[in-house]
Amino acid sequence: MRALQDCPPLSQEEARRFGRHLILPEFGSEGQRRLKAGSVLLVGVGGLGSPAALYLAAAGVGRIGLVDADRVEETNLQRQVAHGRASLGRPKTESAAARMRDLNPGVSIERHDTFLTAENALDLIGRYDVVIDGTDNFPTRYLVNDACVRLGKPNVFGGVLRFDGQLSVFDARHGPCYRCLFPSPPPVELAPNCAEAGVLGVLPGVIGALQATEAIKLLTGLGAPLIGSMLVYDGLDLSFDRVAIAKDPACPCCSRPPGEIVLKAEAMACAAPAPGRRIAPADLRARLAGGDAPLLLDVRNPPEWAGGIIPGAALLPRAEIEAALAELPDGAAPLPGHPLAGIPRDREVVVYCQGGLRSAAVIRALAAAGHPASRLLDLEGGFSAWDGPVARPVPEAAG
Amino acid sequence: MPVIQVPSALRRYTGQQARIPVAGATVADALDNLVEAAPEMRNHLFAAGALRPFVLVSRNGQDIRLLQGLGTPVAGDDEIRILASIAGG
Ligand SMILES: [Zn+2]
Repeated sequence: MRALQDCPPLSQEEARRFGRHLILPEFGSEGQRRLKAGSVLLVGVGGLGSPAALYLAAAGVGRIGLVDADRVEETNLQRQVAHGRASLGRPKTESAAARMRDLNPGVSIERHDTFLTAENALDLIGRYDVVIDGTDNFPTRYLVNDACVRLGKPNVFGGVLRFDGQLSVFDARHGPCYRCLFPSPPPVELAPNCAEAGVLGVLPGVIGALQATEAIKLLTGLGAPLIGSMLVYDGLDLSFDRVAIAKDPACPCCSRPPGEIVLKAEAMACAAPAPGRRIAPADLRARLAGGDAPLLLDVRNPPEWAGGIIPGAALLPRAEIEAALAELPDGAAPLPGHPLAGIPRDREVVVYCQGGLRSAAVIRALAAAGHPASRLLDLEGGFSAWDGPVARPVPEAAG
Repeated sequence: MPVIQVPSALRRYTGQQARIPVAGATVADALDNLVEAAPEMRNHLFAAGALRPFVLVSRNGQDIRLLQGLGTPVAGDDEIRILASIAGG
C-alpha cells in the first residue's frame, strides 16, 4: 500500500464518479486516491480476467496492464464477458481495453499482446503493484508464481473448472506461495482444462470478481487479504469453505533467497515420454495435397468441431476414446462396430486436438492399448497451428 | 463417521457423489477406504504411497501438513477435504 502523500488528489469529476466509494467510511477519498495511484497486471483476459478487468477499471484503479496473446473466439463468449460478438477475431486485450475505457476513460490501460514467458515475466510483472493470475494453464501459473516470489509482489490467484473455484492471495513475504501448496503440476492426463472438462459460464464471474476484490484490498489496505487461506467454492452446493494453508519450509520456490529463483518454462510433465511421431502442419498439408493421406483423427469436443475441422477427419472426443479403451480387454484389437474400430492399426493415423495436449494423451493411451506407436502421428501445435484447408463437419444424421 | 468431500473434477470416480462417509482413525485410513471403494481415484491421489504434489488434503479446514500429515487423526463427524489443483481460467 502506498503512502497517502504519494497518491495524487482526486479531481472534482473523480470525486463525483466515485461518490459511492467515498461515502464508505473505511474507503473514503484516501482509498480512492490509493486506487488511482495503484497498478494491477492481469495475466489472462479470459473468464477470470474479464470481470476482474471490468470491475478494476470501474473502481478507478489508475493503471491496468493486460497480458494475453489470444484473439476472441465464439466459444469464449459463454463466460468471457469483457468481449462481445463485435470483437470476434480481434485481440482480447484490444476488446477488453475498449470496454474498460467505456466504463472509465480515466484509467490508463497497457496492452501486452503476448504470452507470459520466462523471458518477459520479470519485466512485465515488475511494472505493477499487484498481479491477478487469470491464466488457463499450469505452466503459466507456475511462471506467474515464481516471478511474483522473486519480485516480492502479491499474486491474486484464481482457478476454475466445471463447478469448482479456488481463490487465494499468494504473497511469499507474508505467507505461502503457489508452490508451497502444489509443488508441481499434474501430468497432462490428470489435468483436464475447461475445453475438455467444461466450466459453468458464470463460475469465473464469481471467482474473477473476488480476485478484483482482493486486488482492491491490497491496493487500499482495506480488510484482511486472503493470505494463508484457500477459499474453495462449490457452485453445486453453493458453499464457500476456507482451508488454512501454510508456508512450506522446503518449498522449491519461496524457501530460497528471491535472487536465486530462476524462471523457467514449466513443462507439463507426462507420465511417460509420448510415443509415436510428430508431423508438422506443412508436411501434413503436402501429404493431403499429394494424395498420400493418412487417416485424420480429431479428438476435440463437438463444440470445437463447429469452428472447423481438417477435411476428412474422423471425429472422436478424447474422453470417448479413453472410455472405450478402458472397456477393451488388455491388448485386444477392437472388433467391428466398436467405437475404436474406425482407428485402423495398419495405416498411419494423424491425431490432433486444439493445442497438442489431448492428442499426446490419446496417442499414449492408444499405444498403451497395443496400437502400433510407429503409425501414430501427433500434429504439431494442433488445430491452432493448422494453416491448411478447413471443412465444416457434416452434421450427424438424424435419428 | 468422518466424511470425505470430493471436488467435482474427481466425482466421476465416485458415481458423482460429493460427500463420502468413510471409516478410519486417521486421514490415511480414510483415504485408503475411499480408494478401495473408488479404485480409479488412487492414481489421482497417490504416487509411491505419498500424496501427489498437485493434491491437497485438509481436515476440518486445515491443510493436513499443518497437522500430522496423513497420520492426522480423524473421528466423529470430521470433514476431510480433497483439493485438486485446477488451472482453468
Ligand atoms: Zn512457496
